[in-house]
Amino acid sequence: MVGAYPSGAGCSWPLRSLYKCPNLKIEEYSVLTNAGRARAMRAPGNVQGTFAFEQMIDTIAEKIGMDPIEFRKINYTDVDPDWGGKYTSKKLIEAYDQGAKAIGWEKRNKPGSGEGTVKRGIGMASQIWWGGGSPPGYATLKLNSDGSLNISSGTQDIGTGTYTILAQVASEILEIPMDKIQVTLGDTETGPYGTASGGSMTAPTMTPAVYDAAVQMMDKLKSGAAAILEVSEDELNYSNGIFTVKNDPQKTIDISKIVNELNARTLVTTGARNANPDGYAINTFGAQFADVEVDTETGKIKVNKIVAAHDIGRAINPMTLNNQIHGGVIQGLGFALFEERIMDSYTGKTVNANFHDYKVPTIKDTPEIVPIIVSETDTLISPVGAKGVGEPAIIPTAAAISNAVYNAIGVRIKSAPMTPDKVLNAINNL
Amino acid sequence: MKNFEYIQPGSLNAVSTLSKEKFVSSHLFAGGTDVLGLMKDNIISPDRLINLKNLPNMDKIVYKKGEGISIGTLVKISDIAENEDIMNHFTALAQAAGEVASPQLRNVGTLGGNICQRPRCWYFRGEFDCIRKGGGICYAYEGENKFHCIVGGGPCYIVHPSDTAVALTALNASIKIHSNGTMKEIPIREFFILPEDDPMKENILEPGEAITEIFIPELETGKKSAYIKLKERDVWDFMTVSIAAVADVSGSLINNVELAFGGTAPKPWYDENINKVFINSKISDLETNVKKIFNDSELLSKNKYKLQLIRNLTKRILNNFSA
Amino acid sequence: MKEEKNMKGISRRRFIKGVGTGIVGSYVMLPTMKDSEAKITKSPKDEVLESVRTETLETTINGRKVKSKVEPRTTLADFLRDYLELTGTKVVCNHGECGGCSVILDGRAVYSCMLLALDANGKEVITIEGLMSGENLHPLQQAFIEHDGLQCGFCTPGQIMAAYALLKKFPNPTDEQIMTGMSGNLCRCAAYPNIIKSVRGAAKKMNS
Repeated sequence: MVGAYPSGAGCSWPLRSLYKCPNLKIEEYSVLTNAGRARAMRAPGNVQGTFAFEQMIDTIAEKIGMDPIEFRKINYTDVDPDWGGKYTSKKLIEAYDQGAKAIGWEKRNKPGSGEGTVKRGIGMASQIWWGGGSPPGYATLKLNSDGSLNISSGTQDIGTGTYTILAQVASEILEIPMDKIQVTLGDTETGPYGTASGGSMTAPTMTPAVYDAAVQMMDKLKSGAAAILEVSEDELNYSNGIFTVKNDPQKTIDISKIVNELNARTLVTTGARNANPDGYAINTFGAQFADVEVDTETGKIKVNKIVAAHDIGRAINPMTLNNQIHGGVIQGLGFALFEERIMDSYTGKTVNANFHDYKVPTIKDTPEIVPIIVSETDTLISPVGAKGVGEPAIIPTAAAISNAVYNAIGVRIKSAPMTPDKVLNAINNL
Repeated sequence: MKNFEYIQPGSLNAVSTLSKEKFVSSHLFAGGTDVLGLMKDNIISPDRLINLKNLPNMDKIVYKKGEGISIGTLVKISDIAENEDIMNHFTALAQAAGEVASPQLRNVGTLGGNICQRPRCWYFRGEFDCIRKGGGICYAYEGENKFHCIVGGGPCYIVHPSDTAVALTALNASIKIHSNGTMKEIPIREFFILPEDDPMKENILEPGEAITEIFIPELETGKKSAYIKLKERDVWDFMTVSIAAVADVSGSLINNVELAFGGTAPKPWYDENINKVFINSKISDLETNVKKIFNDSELLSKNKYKLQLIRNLTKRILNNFSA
Repeated sequence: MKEEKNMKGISRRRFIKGVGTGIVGSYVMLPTMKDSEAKITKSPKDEVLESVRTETLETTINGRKVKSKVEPRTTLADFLRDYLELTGTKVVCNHGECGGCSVILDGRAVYSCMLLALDANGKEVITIEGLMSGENLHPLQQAFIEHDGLQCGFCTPGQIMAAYALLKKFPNPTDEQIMTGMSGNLCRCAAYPNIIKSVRGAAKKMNS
């Protein structure tokens, strides 16, 4: 149901591309309702589609008596089933294996076989999403005569750590300490065009643009250093802001001196995001594993632990990356257990448009979250090799929780959020 | 919010006079966490708020062993949750207070305000001219009613939202009320009313009246109390269903019990006949006995699960006494 | 109109009757200006103010005494933000359901959107602006940076004020105490695991 106007988000994408299936027919249609228009929210359509699809996959596996992970592995695909493109990288098997190990998959019992009124279960679900980034996206670097660096771009940081990772990429190449780098975002009046912060595109689109600008800057500095020191560029070493002549280590020049000697005041470069490779599919992959308890007397589900194993290319900054994964998982948990727009069907008015009836997870609902990055770098996409993580992190959470709930109680809850009333009704066949 | 007159009366008599002044709509104001919410949502728009916070001697907790505990109406919910005498002797109330809202609201909300708070029914709080707001119909009856009552409803189907009121009902507290210059004491079990009596209010308080203190008699030897609450979210959520019990359980035998139910009815639900089902019964018979309660419920389209839930929680709270 | 000199840095409000229009306007003096060079700025709600029904509020905000005329309906959050320009306190839901407006009132965390400014009469309020000493961040502020205890940052002032009250009460909090103490503050980005680490980290630093 999409409200009065569809948002364009489809739920069937994971069905088309998560597994190898030569004979696939999918029909998808929107149901218009007398409600406000649909709005996009973190991985629109895919959270919902994955919630349904990955429960079906578990159901099929159970019917044929196969372990759910084993079943997913035998239907694994190396190419995009939709059009046959090879993936630039795909580490989903690694996500299955490392995630299973971290959650203790071997302790998983038969569905509903636990003793007592509070039953424990383990479940998992996989994820596919785009998140490879693409042109256009630009960043301008200004190296000042005091050796400090400004990075500017029209892209935005919505809390995901864009400021930090752009500085980091420049710092790695130019070997300028982070505290001498200032990043200015969110303004296309002063900076060049950057991608909108959405679609898990910011890191994979913008970091290569900064990388490109930094490499150009390095070229300028190197030619400047060579001219000033009167040697060829090949004869220079570079480390921590200082060029040294290989055969004559006494002869050095630091970058701020280069800017001054060239009488440039500021060295400016603008980098662009490279084109993506032709003929390849670029996707992110992952698998999440949930350990839950279901109180069969109250219908309340408690999530003890979520293991989130993802292939997102290179992890540029593990701290901000983990924060993104935590956020995705907890929002996914909100979708699984609490969050629902409740509309009075007679009047069409939303009755829970507030924060006490529309229940966003609190700190007390937060489970232990174990992020695992199974990928290293995806150099086919860009020299930085990063893919996006914002949306991948939320996609499989609710599906993993629902499969774990089934494993705990042996009853399928087919509608989210899985609130106590629904769980009790399902258990008692009401 | 419409602007209003903010008055700081020096005495309870002044509160009475101010509340009853003709042509001025007045509202009592203590912690204010519910009153301000109602005003921001335009459910009430008083001309005058009468601040009770500065009245003397209404924020004390006095425990007299063998007699009971007196809790001033202005005592903060957080102070009740953490008071040692209440924790030790009136455990259900401390537990219920600890379940109220969030730390910040517990730091401001008062006991008097908590038991007098208006219902959280989303039709009452939303843009619906429902019965409780003087309109013609209860939208919940055939609408979104998963949190609504299963007993005592009609013509309005709210549940009473207060955690502490449920505990106080089981604990057989009484409420001291200043009423136009005189004091009266009402058992809490007679304080709340049903919609059939008046669908626009939840208790017997009239203009000119104000709660001054709540008194809980000491529990008889052998009795203990407890409160449990199911809420969808782990914190900061009103009860789906809650139960307070005062019970004397020795081993596997329930000698005596008084139960009060929240999230069940338009008032904290107390029914001697429910107690009788369990008095002198065995813990091992709970499974069968809980099926005897709430058989006269009026279940609405989306709240059928509550019956099962209440029975399961009754089993659980009584089981806990024997553990 | 007689001006009473308050402590430096705190703005006052005075009321000037618009001549001939019947509209009553109230005006805020910006905090950094001296009386002699006071530029007058309109307060946001003045256009609709029909009658002067105001009370005097005397309170202490971040250690400074404040005396001001306010309308009774002014919430403490609005007073902090609109009158004193202490905009670190965020109003998100304005219904006591999110925690963004958390401040400390006489040592306890409260939602400033669900209190009248007049209820701070004679009391002490601490806001996020009151935590820094000079140019130095409070250990809690530092810890939220070090442990990445935020994403978009909008809830962060409220989170830090809740944590401040929590650590005053329990200088060495258990994880359970952290979870309870911080449970009145929503974070839609759900940076909760790092918020817990930040509070733990700050407690450790403040105790050493």
